[in-house]
Amino acid sequence: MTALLRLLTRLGPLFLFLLLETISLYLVVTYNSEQGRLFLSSTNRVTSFINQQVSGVTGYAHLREENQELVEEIIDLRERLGNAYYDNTASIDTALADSSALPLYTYIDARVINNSISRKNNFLTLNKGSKHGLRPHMGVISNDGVVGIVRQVSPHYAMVMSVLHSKTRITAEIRNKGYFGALVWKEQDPRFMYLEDVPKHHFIELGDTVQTSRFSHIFPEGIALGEIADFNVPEGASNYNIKVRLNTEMGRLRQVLVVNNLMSEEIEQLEEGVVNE
Amino acid sequence: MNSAVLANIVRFIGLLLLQVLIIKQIELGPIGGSIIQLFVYPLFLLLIPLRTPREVQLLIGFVVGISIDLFYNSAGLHASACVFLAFVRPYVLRIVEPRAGYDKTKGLTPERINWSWFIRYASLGALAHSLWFHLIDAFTFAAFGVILLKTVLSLIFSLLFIFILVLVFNPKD
Repeated sequence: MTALLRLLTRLGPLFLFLLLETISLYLVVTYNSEQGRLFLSSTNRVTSFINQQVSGVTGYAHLREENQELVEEIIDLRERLGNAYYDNTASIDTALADSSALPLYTYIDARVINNSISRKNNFLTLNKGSKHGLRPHMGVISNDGVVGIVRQVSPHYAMVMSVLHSKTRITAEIRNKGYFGALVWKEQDPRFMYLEDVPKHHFIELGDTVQTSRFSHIFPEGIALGEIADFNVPEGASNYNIKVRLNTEMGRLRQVLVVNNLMSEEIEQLEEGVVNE
Repeated sequence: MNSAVLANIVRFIGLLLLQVLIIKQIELGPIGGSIIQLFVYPLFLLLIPLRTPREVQLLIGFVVGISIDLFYNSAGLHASACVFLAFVRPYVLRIVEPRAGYDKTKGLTPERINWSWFIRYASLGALAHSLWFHLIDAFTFAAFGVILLKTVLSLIFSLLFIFILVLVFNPKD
């Protein structure tokens, strides 16, 4: 008995170490898994408050850049307006397009209050939540491309699975060529992602723009994500291995837009119905 | 309250705030686009007084790690690395033990011992922390090259910050 007690006191720190590691690893596995469940975490009032204050302060430091980006965005939007186009139509017909077009996407602006880029699975926290209309599976974009997908929402905050996540698969296509594949993050380098599943008999070039696909109902079609930086065909493979340089600087995100697809429920119901048959 | 305890509490709060308010921004900002994680809070664990019971050291490690995790959205990850550091600290101390041994009543600082000892001590301790952190983050031995690269880069830059902090504040205990 005394021998056992002596052993226990000698092994005390080891037991405590194993116990604490077990708790830690349990937390890692439970909360950092692909579901991206919220830990007490950013949605926790205190840390959210502090993160938000920090984001407020650093926001000031970047006002000039942000202004510049906004100006560029305004120019871009103005260029898309009807009055920015030269009307080249010969016969003027009744335009049915406007009255028959239904709004498909609406946007909710949000501020990034927590972000990471250097881990294997990265998440962001936004300062908008279910009260502002955010729901899981909504897309998140920035001025320069795609940021991620909303995984979980609380009343005032939302947790977004960054594109820099080992489980990310975004349907993307090559602009003007239409070949589509899945964009994944493999190399732990926040500047690059890989476009997979593009068959090797298609013709692609360095510098081709990769954009969101028309098959996605999370992101609007045609948002430029990046450019092809490198590609090759691995030995014995039938698909290209395409390296894409992202337009978005994931580490510098501040203002983002959450994409609300007004038809997403209808599409999901329809697709689920067919799959379940 | 004991002045050493008070000093450690102040140090803990200071390093926590430094880590989550400033270092976290640096990670995303100027050196963003890289794969470096900066850790300054291990300094707190390295400076815990020698006479603290080992069980208490482990519990402190866990609390420090969880506090950092709250801000990093990384439940358990920093906690695990901190507990590991607290656990291996006595072994690290034994490896770098000076010929005269340690004075249990004095702090583990360059002011009390010397700089060459502290550099070896902090480097080994931070290495243990950084390696464990990246192993748990990846949760696999598969991409060991990447893990090692991240460990070494994080280590170098973290140590730079840690040494500057010690140089500036020059703590005694």
